[in-house]
Amino acid sequence: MAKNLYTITPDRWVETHSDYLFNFAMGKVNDRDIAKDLISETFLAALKAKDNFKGEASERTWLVAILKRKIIDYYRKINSNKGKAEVKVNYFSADNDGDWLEERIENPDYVTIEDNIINNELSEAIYACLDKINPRQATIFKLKTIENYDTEVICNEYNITPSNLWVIIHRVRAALADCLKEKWLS
Amino acid sequence: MNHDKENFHQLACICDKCQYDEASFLEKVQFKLHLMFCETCKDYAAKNNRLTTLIKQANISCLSLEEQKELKSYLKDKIT
Repeated sequence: MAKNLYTITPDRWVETHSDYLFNFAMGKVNDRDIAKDLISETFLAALKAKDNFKGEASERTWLVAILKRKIIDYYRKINSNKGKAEVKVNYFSADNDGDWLEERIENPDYVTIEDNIINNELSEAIYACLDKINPRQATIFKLKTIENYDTEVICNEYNITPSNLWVIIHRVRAALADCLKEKWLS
Repeated sequence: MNHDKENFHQLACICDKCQYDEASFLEKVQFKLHLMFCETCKDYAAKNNRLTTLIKQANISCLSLEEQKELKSYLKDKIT
């Protein structure tokens, strides 16, 4: 039986995949500018390699695979630069906690590895749910909820009234709650 | 308390505005009073609060409008 092959649409990459890829990159490098550069490099590499896309995996899986390689390259590069430029002073050892005052104070923002795994899983789940929603509404929701844009700015950009905006926000929140209810909202 | 779909929709929108701290004082009072008698809205508000907590907990990032535009024009240049 003939297999359905995926296709690629580079002119839709920013709308469909940039936020997901950016979120993924932020999780790995935790720097907005570096994450943006990595996304640009990923798209550029993908454009160059688009003829090699066989369509066996989805466009997003393919782009994420390229992004992962870019992230590895990024860390390789900064680690090799570090080795040349830095002298590491190691005052920390297993039986000595170090004398710096900052290190002795408990960090209130301290996140355990388990918390990180759960949060990553949660952010994947939220993005998967948002992918099922109308892309325009999902973008408006993300700008309002994640980027904390003013209602007025979004209304001007998308040429909608504040009432329209709240209706969209309500629809997306309801859809998101419905999508997340089994695993996360019960 | 029973209310029609349209009324629920209006109240739900006020509840959503509260999540973003954009409900007016009057809307907040109206909604709080309503919650005292309405189990449906109370349930909706509880779920809505939980959803807001989950979104914050997930620590999601996305591109701003300007960053999206920059990326679009960069990609457009490269495609053409």
